[in-house]
Amino acid sequence: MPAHKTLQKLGKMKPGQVLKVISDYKAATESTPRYVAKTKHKFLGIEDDEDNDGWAMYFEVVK
Amino acid sequence: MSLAIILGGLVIGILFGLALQRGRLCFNSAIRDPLIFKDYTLIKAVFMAIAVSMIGFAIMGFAGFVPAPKPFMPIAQLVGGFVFGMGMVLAAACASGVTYKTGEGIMVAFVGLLGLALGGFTAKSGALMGAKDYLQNLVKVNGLTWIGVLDTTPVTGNLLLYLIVMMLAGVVFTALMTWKFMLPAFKEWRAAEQGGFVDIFFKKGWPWWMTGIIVAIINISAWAVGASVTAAEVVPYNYPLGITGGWIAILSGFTTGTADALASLPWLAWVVMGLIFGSFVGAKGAGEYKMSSPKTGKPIMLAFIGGLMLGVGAVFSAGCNITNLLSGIPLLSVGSLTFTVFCFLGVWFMAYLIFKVLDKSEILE
Repeated sequence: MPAHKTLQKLGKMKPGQVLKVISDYKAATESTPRYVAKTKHKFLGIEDDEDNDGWAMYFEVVK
Repeated sequence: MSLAIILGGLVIGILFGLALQRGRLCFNSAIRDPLIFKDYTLIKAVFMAIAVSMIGFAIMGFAGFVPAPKPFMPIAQLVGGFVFGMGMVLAAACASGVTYKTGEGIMVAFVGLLGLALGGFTAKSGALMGAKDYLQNLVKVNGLTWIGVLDTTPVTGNLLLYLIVMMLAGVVFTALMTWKFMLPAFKEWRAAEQGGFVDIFFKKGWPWWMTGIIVAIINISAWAVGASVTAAEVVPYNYPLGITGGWIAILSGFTTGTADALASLPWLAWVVMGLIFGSFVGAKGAGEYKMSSPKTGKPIMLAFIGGLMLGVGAVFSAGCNITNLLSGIPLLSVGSLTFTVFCFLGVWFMAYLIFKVLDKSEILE
């Protein structure tokens, strides 16, 4: 369940750091940013990730 | 072999599968998200679908068509609902979820689907049939609704009160969902949305209110088409929009039936087969189809166990999430409400255990 792990990882990182989350399930790229939006962290954007045949989401840690 | 059953079932199923996939409407996420992620997006879609369906059923009722509300079997629905809910978390999907996600290529969902069919068949006709009958018959009140046992006798019965309460509840619920939740969301969406028809419907994920309304329309259509076509199928609680009964019929039809199994499959079997195809079309069209598997083996085993629990829970409760939430609750069935309450509790219990207590969400897919 990458979304929960994503939130936990963001909580452990330093402010200003950026976390890249790779997913090959499109629906997860819509729900994960939605969950992160409930926190202080920022959703920077999403791009295609051809190497992993999926998408890469970027989140910035905000404390 | 009825062409009406095959074609009608397939069309409803394809539309339903397309809507579930485009709407990302998995009831597991819908119920789990408020607890684990404080996110209410999908549960609003479910509530919208129920609310609008209520109005649809009330209209059907006033037009003369009154289906039998699911019976109140509190012990069976408590056990079945809780087991179903726990299974939803382990399989990372509900009964409709394992079906539409199989169409998206998610192989873990396919494993869950196999479990659903096997568990359901076992509870319906196999080793757990006795337990099912026992639990269901401990306490059973047929036709128990919010206004008491439904009595459709003309004049002396309570059919009119029943339909009025249903219509009122539907209108109030829909109005609440529309004014408090949908209109603000719609305004925001309208301002941000730049795409055209094809983009909105087939390339991007649907907003929750669109999913809820469309699912309700498909639900009522299934009743309008399915009930007339399947009058000959006397299985009173296999409602025209359902999942588990379809997979059980396919499994038993082929494994224990005769060479003409395909020709004699019931309506629901065609609905679920159409569902997979509709979801596949939706995923493919949006460039989202991918045969995927988890990185480790645990999600696969848990999905199978979860699937078995989905099947057993659904059969014990005389219905899975789709028939109980989308048809049972709108029909004011107290039994369906009971199932729903314990389903929610089962999801929350298992999700809290795995995500928070054990902190092992990686074992799920």
